[in-house]
Amino acid sequence: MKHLTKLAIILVLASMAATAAAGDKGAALGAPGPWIFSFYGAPYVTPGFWAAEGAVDTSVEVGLQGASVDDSPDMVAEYYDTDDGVTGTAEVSAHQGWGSLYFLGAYQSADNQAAELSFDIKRMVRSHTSYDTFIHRLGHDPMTNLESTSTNGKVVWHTDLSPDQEYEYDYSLLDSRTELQLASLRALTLGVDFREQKREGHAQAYTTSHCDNCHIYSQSHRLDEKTSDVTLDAKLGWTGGYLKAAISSRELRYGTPSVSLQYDQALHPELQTPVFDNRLQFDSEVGPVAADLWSNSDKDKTRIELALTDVLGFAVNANGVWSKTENLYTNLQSDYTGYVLTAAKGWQNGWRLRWRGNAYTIDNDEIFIDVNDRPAVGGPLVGQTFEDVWGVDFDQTRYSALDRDVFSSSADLSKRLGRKLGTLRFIWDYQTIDRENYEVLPGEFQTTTNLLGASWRTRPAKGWNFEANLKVADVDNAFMLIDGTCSTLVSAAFPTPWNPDTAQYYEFQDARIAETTASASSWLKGELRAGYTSGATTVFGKYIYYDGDNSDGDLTDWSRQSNTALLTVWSAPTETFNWYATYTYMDSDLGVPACIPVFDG
Amino acid sequence: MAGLKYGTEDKLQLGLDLSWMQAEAGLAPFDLPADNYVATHPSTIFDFSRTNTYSDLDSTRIDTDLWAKFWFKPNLWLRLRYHYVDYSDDAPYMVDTSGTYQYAAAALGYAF
Repeated sequence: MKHLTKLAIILVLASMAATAAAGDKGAALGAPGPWIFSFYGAPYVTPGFWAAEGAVDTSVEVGLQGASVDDSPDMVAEYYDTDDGVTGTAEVSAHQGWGSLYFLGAYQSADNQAAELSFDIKRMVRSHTSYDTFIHRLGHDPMTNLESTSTNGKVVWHTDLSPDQEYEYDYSLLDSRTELQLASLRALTLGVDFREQKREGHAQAYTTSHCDNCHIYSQSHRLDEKTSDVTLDAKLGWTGGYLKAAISSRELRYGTPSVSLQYDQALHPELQTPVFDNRLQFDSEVGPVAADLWSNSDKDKTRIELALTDVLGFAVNANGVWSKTENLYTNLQSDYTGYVLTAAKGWQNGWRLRWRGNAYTIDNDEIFIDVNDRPAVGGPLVGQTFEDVWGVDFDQTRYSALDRDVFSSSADLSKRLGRKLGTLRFIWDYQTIDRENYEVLPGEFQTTTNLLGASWRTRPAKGWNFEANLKVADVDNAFMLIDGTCSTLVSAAFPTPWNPDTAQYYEFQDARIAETTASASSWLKGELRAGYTSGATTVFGKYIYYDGDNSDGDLTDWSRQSNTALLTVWSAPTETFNWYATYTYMDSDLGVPACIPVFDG
Repeated sequence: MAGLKYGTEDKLQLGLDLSWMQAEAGLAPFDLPADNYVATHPSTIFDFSRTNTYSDLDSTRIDTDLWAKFWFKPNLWLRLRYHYVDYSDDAPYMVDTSGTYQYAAAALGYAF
C-alpha cells in the first residue's frame, strides 16, 4: 500500500502539471527511464511517441503476468518478480506553448512498480521525479555449517528462532528535482532536490553466545529503513562562469527496534558450572538485551562551487564541502571538510592539460570503552575479576582509524599528433593519506601513492580504431593491519584453565607477527582495445591485464593477477534487423598467506 | 551472450537475448606443516585435505529473454514477453541454490 501511495503522489503531481496544460493539446516526448527494462526487457525501439508540437499523446497498457520458480529463488530470481496478476501502464506526454509534460506509471505487482514525471512550465519551472521499487531476496541461511563438535563436550551449535521467515525486502527510490528560473532573472536558478530511499522487509539477524559453547542464534529482524535527503541550491550564472551554493540535510531512520535476545549463561563447557563470568561482560544474568542494533543518524552538508571559464586561459572550477554526521544513538559526530580545484586548457598546437587537486579532512569523535569487569561467581577465582587475576585493564579510548588529512593531485597532459598518428596522453596521479591514529606499518601513518600512465589512441586506417593504455603505481605504506595474524605463542596443555601458566586469549593476540592486507604496494595495468567497422558490421575487442602485489610487512605476501578479454560483433544487415554476439573471459588469481590458529577453548 | 532484433515501426518488433555464464572459483589446498604442530598432533586429528573444497564455487547461469510487440493498428498493439533463467550450482556445500525462473506477460496497449 505504501508503494501505491507513492504512485498516487506522483499522479497528483502529474495532475497539477496537467492542469496547467488544460485546453492546450501538444505533442508527446520524453524517453522512459531505465525502469522499462524491469517490465518489458530491452525494447527494440524506445516506446516514445514523437509527434508534431501541439498534440497530447496518451496511451495505456493492461495485461497479465505469471511467474514461477522451481527450487531455490535466491540466485535465479534474486531481484525478479514472482507474483501473478494484472499489470498496467499509463503514459501521457505533451509539448505545448505552456511547456511540456511527461508522465509514466507502471504497476507490475505489489513488489514491482515504477513511475516518472517530468514537466516544465514556460522553462521557468522544470521538474523531474522518478519512483522505482523492486524486490531483493536475501536467502535464509540454515546455518548448518555450525555443527562441529569435539570429543570432550565442546560444540558449535545453532538455533533458528524464525525458521519459516523469508528474508527479503522491497527497495524503493523516490528521486525528485525541481528548478525555478524566473524570466526576469535568468541568471539565477533555484533548485530543490528530494530523495527518499527505503528498504522494507526482513533481514536475518545473528547473535553469538560463547562460554558455555559457541551458540549462534538467528532470528528475523524487521527492516523499515528510510534515508531521506533534502537539498536546496542556488546557482548564479554569468558569461564567464557561475557560483553555486547548496545545503543538504539527510536523515537515516530505522523504524523498527532492535531484536531482543537472552544470551546463554557463561558455563564451563564440560563441567557446566558458572566459572567464566569474569571472562564475559554479560550473559543470561542480565536477561534479554538489545541485539543487532541499527543506529539512526543525521547528516548536514554545505557545498559552495565557483566556476570560471577563463583564468589566464584556463577553465577553473573550485568547490568546498563541509559536512557533519551524527550517530543519534551514541551522539558521536564525524566532521568532513573538503576542497577541490580543477583547471583545464587546450592549446592550438594540439596540447591539452587538465589538473584536479583535492584535499579533505575527516575528524571523528573518540569514544571511551569502559569494560564491564564482572567477578567470577564460581570456581577457584570466585569474587575476582579478570583484571584482578591477570592484571590486564581492557578499558580504553578508541580513536577513529578514519581520522585523516588527504591530498590528491591528478595531472593529465595530452598531445594530438595528427589524424592517423592519433593522440598521446600522459597522466600522473599523486595521493597522500595522513592518518592521525592508525598505523599502516610500524611507525608509519602515511600512505603515499604515485601512479604514472600513458595511452595512445589512433585511427590508423579507415574503419579501424586502436587504443593502448598502461598504468603503473607505487604505494608507500599501503593500508595494512599490523600483527593481524600468525600468533607465535604455543601453549602447553594444562588440566584447568585457571593454571597461572595457561595462555590467555589476549596473549595469543599479542603474539601475532604477520601484517595482513588486501592492498597492493605496486601494481601494473595494461589495456588494449581495437575496433573495426565495415559497412553495417562492427567488431570490437578488449584485453586487460592487472598484476599487483604487496610484501612490505612481516610475512605479508599478498598478490593479485587477472586477465580479462572481451570480443563482440554487432551487425545490422538491414534497417529492420540486427544481431550481436559477445564473449567475455576473466581469470583472476589471489594470493593470500593464511595462518590457522588451533587451540582448545 | 548473443541476441537479435527485428523491427518495423507500427507493425512488428521481435527480440531475443541469450546469455550463458559459467564461473568457477576455489581455494588452493592447505595443511598445517609447522614443526611444533606436527610434533605434537597426530596427522589424523585434523584432516584438512578436503577443507579447501568447501568454498568451491562452480555455477552456470542461462538467461533467455524473448519479447515481441505486434501492432493491429497504429494505436492498438499487443506486447508479449517471456523470460527464462536457469541457475545451476554445480558445487553446492551446505545449501543448493540451484533454481529455475520463468516469467510470461502479455499486455494490450491503446494510444488515444
